[in-house]
This record gives sequence, C-alpha cells and structure tokens, in this order.
Amino acid sequence: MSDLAPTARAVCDLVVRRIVDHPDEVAVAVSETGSVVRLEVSVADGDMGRVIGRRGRVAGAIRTVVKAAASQDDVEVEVEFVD
Amino acid sequence: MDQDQNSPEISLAEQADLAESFVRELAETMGITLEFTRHEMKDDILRIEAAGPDIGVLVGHGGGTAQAVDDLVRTVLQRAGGTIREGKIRIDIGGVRARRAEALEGFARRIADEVTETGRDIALEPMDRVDRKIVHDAVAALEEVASRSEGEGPQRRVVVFPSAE
Repeated sequence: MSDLAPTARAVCDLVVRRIVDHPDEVAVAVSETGSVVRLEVSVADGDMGRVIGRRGRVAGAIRTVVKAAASQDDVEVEVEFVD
Repeated sequence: MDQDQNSPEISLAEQADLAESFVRELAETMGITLEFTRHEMKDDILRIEAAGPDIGVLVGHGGGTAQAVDDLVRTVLQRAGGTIREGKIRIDIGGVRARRAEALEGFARRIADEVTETGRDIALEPMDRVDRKIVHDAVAALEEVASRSEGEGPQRRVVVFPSAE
C-alpha cells in the first residue's frame, strides 16, 4: 500500500497540515479502486471548515495541487475529505 | 473579522518568507527545485515569482495549478496572521500571473476602444477582485472611458462606459 502515489500523498499531507490548527490530527488514508488511487483526508473536527474553505475553494485548490503531484507518480488520484 | 481576532498581524516581509517557504517545501515534495524573485508592485503588493526548469507541473493546464497554489498560500497566510487583509502577497508560479495581467490589460484596452467607438456601455464577464483591479487600472489610464463594478459576490463584474465629456 505504501508505494501507491507517494508524491501525491506527501503533497496532500503537507498542504493540509500547513492550513489546519491541529496538524497532528491530519491523516491521509490510501486505497485503490481500479486504476484510481483514493486519498481520504481526515482532520480535527474544528479544522474541516478551513480545509473546505468558502464555496469549497480551498478543497478545490488542494485537489488541483494533489492531482498535479500525482502526475509525478503516473497515477490518477481522487481526494476526499471525510468526517 | 470575528475569528482569529487574537492572531498577531505579521509584516509583509514575514508573509513573504512564509509564502516562499511553503511553496518551496511543496515543490521539493514534488521533486522540483524553484528560484524565487520578489517584485514590489504598486499598491503595496509584493509579487513573488517562482521559476525553475520543471515549473510546468506547478503551472498546469491554463495556469490552473498556479492559481491553486496561490489560493493555498493565501490560506496559509490567513492561518498565520488572521488579521491580514487579503491580497498583499501574490505568488506567481512561472510568471503566469504577470503574463495574464498583460493579456487582461490588452483586453481591457480593446473593450475601451469599442466603448469609445459605439458610445455604449460594455459589461464584462464576472471576475475576481484581482482581475477587476487590473481592468479598472487599465481603463483609468484612458481618457474617453471609465469603469465601475456591479453585482455581488461571484457575479461581480466590471462595466466599461464612456466618460462624461
């Protein structure tokens, strides 16, 4: 599992940790569905709003950057924010 | 204003250092090395241009990734100093922002020509505040036309109109 989309995972982890109040509670779980790698991001309860942002703008920016990172891994990724 | 009231305000130089270190770390995680140059712009705006041989990955299709990086920088800065006003630091990945601003200025001047020729107002597509400012500034440099913003939120747009003689 650990070799799935390592760049995308590292970038996702880094970016989310830099924008939340509780970086220690950030977790990125990885799973694979067909050819798509899914990154499930969970954060502390109070941090979800910041990660999503107004009109989902921050979540969209995270997805865009993580997908760019995934091109370094030659895989397609999906980023989900889970409660 | 209601949140982060207790966060200390941080200086423009500190914001720039923070923005730069975030983007550097992001790029290094992707295996990309960047060089940064700072450009002082009008209205107290500091444009930080990032360049490097593999910058294309961070620019993305149509500059979409570059815009996303700038959005994330703003979020990082807001977290660091909750009271800072939006938009003093601009991260410009691969210089796309500078090129885009030039293109937008050219577009504004062509619209202004059309307004001058027809004598009629032209309402542009909705734009964010940064782009609206570029258009307003380009129009303000011309004598025959003026501009205003109309609409709310994501629908806010610039209207170019003939200035009163």
